Amino acid sequence: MADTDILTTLKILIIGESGVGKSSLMLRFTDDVFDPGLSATIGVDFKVKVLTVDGNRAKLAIWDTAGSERFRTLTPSYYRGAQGAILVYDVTNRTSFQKLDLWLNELETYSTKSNIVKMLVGNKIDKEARVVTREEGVKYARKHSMLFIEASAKTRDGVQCAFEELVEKIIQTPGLWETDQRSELRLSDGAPTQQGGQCGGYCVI
Amino acid sequence: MASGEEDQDVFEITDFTTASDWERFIARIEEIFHEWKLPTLQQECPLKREELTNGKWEEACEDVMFANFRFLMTRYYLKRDVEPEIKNDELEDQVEEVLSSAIEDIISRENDFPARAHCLVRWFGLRDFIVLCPTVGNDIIASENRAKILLSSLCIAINNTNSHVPVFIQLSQRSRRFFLGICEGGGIRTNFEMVHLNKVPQHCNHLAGLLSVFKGKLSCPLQLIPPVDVTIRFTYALHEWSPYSWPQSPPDISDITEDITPSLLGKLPFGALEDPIVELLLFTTWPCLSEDIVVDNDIHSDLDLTQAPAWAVKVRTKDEPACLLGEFLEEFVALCHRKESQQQLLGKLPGEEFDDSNEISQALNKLARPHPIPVTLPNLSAVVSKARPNLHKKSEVSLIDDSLLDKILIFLFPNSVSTLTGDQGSEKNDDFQNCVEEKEMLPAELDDHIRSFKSAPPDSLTWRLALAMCQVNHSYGGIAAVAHLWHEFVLEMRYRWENNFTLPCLEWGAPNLAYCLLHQKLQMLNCCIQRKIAREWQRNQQSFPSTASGSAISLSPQKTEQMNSESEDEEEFFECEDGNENSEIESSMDIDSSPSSEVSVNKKMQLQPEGRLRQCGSLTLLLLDEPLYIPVTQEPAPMTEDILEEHAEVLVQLGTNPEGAALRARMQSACLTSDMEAFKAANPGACLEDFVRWYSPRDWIEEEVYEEGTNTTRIEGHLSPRMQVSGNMWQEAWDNSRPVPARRQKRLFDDTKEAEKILHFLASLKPAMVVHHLLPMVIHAAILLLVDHIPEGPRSLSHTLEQIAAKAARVIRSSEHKYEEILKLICQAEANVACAQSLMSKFCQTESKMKSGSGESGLPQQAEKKKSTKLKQLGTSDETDDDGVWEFVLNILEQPEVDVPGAGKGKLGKLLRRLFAEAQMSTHLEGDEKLEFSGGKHHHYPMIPEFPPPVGREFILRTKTPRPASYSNHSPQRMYCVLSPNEFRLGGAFSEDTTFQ
Ligand SMILES: Nc1nc2c(ncn2[C@@H]2O[C@H](COP(=O)(O)OP(=O)(O)OP(=O)(O)O)[C@@H](O)[C@H]2O)c(=O)[nH]1
Ligand SMILES: [Mg+2]
Repeated sequence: MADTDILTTLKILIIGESGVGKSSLMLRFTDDVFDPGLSATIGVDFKVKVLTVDGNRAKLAIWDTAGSERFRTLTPSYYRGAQGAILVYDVTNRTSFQKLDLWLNELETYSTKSNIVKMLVGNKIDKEARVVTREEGVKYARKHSMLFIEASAKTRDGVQCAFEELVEKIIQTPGLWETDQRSELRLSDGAPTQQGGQCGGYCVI
Repeated sequence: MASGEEDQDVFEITDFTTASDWERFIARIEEIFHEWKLPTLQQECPLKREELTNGKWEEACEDVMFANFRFLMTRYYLKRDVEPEIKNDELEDQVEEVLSSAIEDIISRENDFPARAHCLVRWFGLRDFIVLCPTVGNDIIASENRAKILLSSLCIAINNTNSHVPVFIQLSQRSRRFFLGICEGGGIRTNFEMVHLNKVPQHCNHLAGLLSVFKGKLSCPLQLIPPVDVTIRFTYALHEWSPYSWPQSPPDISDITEDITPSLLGKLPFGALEDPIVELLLFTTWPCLSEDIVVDNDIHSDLDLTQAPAWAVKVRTKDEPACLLGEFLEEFVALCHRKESQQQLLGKLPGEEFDDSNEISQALNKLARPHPIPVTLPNLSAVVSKARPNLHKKSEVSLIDDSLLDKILIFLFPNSVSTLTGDQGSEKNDDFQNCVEEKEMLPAELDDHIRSFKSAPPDSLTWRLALAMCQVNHSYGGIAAVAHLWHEFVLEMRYRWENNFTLPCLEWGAPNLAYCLLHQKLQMLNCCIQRKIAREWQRNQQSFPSTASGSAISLSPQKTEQMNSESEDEEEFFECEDGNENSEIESSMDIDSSPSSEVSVNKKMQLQPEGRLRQCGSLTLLLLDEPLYIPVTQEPAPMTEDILEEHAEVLVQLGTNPEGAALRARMQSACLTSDMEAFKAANPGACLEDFVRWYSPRDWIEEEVYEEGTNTTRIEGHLSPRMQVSGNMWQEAWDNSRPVPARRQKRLFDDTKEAEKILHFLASLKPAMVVHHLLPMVIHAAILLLVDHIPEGPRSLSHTLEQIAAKAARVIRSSEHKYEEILKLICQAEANVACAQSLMSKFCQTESKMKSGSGESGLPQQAEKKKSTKLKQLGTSDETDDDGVWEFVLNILEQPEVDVPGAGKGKLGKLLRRLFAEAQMSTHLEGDEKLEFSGGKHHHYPMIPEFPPPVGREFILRTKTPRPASYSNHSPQRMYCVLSPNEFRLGGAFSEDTTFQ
């Protein structure tokens, strides 16, 4: 597992209301386990996983944040520089869905990359008491130009896929992750240039 | 070496082993012709008007060797949108008869004198041609013999491949631009020939002479030669501008020193120091005359330029005129590479040893305390500098003198002035808040880029500091002055920290990570100062509890500054460190005198509730049936991006295993613990469930429970499973926390430590680093300044700025600050604006002279200036009364050549004539005469011609004649001639029929 063949390191955020299953999703993705005894997150937590998408190996630094109100003054500081954000809600809890606006707003305010890729995840689809329909999720995601998937950290449904899709999209977004600065500046053609590259004719006697 | 290779190449079908260099040369050329698909080129439609100028040219390039002599073969061709329309039906049977487009081009009248083109295009009107020339550094082709060999080789290649594109060889030195060429196709061969001399031969110095050369060359077998079609252009140059003073007289910096005002300090200078306009060229053209209607011989000429049907203008500008803004920026950026430390530049710095800074503080203390009678006091900085007698001055000149330093410091810290003069201190801050918002409408894209600059808000402290540094560097002693001012600034920072003066012109609150690091640091320092003020106030409060309860008033943070700087009665000032909503303070203050009824209930717990903020809805404690109170809590520590980075780094270092995660949680639980302790203090007898209901309500699960006995349902709550797991982090934290109100807790944010860290950071910056930290603001300010000049600049300026801003936004954010390129672009934009201004003022001055007619010559100067500025202000809007002058100026800046509507008879034409006439006068007349002339009486000097002699005369002669024999087909003939004081060139394209010879 040499680091040399890694294309890029990507910073991924997981945000959303407390208890929607952010930490559980991360744990399922990184360690493929589900631990019902996981503590409510304090501040932020962090995990790393290397993912291969379309033959590109990307190292993911995943930042899991606490959802409780009281930590909200602290956690946004860690949004800086993230290329992707996973917004999680709980399909069995309408409030967590209704609060998405707030989280989007938060992201808008604190993320430093304007073209950060956002993915909406409706979690806990294994539970029976679903109150937010898939269609509602789709609609919300479309309205805010996000990727969308429903998942369950418990049964692992959709989890791997969510991360893969997100990373693929990030890699396809130009300027989001490359470190080199390519775009060259050309002054407008209208600007007066004395010698137009060609051996200027008689007029420059 | 080459032959060795070929010897082994036995499998090649073509056997080159016996080929000569010459054969290989031709083969290579043919190969390239095929590569470029010349043999299959289809006939294209005729050129449209000006297409050679406006179309898109492309080039293809290949190496060709002749023995070991290297040539470069380049094809220049016009990329045409219209695909060659192949009239299949008609051409089917005569495919081999495809005419070369060159045949059409050389007699086309649509593209004479293209404004910008390869010289061969200008001479022969070609849209597609190939040039073979020795590579740079190689020998030149000088001998006629060699030229012949090359031409005949090309001829063979052309015939072998059936290529119709003209091919030229360049002879002699490159600078002579001497070409010979050949073109074949469709039964016509065209030879391109050339004559080039340094002097115009006497008999060729007019149209008549040139016509006879042309006709002689054609040696037309016909009795009656068809009339030759003539196009003529004369060029006049104007580079005498002395009648028009360059309007941008450079500000004399040494003058400013006297009354350097804050507004001057807060601005970067703008404009060119020298006239960026070098010369104006006037082209007068007579298109397509028949030879017999124009007389131009050694005795008489009909060619009066004022009567020419077409006029056009072109302006030549200085490549890099000296410009003020550019100069300022360049000098500032240059400091980035300096290695000197503060110490080296200033000698021993007393500020470093803090024991003697005490002395300063005392002096300042005296100052800051308002005096009972308002007296004019020496200002802050004067005292500061006097209080430091042992500041070594390395060289007198390199350091800023005291009075100037005062002005700069007042500019940077406007509120310290108001302390002394009794002004409303808050005014500046209010201004500042306003001006952050206000910025007129910018093009959206540009605005976006500018917004994304990681710099500081315009007019903020950081911004002012950057501009002041730039000024100081340019005008008052370079890097040493920068070091000096920085030193003063750092001392001021320390003084403000120690004496509880907040920093002016900064937004309040935690550092805004969208701004540059330096700005964040200053914001952070401000946070520290505020916290310190609050802390000390509270300490006072506790020592005089009686005064406290009565005067609990809520203040917005903005007011603190004012209060603090204005009044000495600091007791009146209030800010609650603990409060996150000041309006709630009263309730927290009430606690000391809480109603006795509550006290009696609490007696069981032996605890007085402390630090309550407000009730949490209608919740009650689970065990006591008491209202649940939200406690006053500590605010989390503000962070600058570098601290944040460090924190993140530490968290990452802990690794991703469960132990790491646990440690990470513990590290971050300070805030949780603090909140728990405050909660316990506010709610004696509360349990974790109570805390969770406030803090993480989703972890409190309520369920309906059906009770068998009473047959009713009852709501029963319990902690979520994850909170119930024994020994989880929350449980552990709860068990370990004692009831302590926020006010008595250990500070989460150690303002003293943070402030010292920042002050140390500031003090240890080398001047180069200081500049480095300030550059984002300087670049930002420069771009805003350019934006202000959009109305007076070329039309493309707004678009150019967009690109500069986009690039700047990237450079400012990137770690390696490559400002050089941005700088260049800014200089260029500034120069472009200066060009527009210069041209405009020249035209306007002339115009007003013409309007004012004769008489008072000295006075109009003022009026003209007014007019020209007015016009500039009106800018691009159409309602100007400049009759298209501004429009014309913009076109000149934008296009390589601009037509003058109405030629010499139009309004602009008259303006131009006047410009030339004045220049003529100015070169021919002396002193008094000049003055008289500028009054508009030029007709008094008839001996001075209105125009100088032309700097160039061009003639294009065209016709169609049968060549070489009288029974040959008519084929196009062309001769281009240019006559100038030191050049005489004839370029002929003579065609002949190859079928009927
Ligand atoms: N049935 C079911 N339960 C889940 C699922 N994901 C998470 N949970 C449970 O939901 C609760 C909260 O999960 P966490 O992952 O801790 O939630 P979180 O979003 O990280 O919460 P905070 O850290 O407080 O922001 C836990 O009890 C999990 O066991 C899921 O997909 N299905
Ligand atoms: Mg969590």
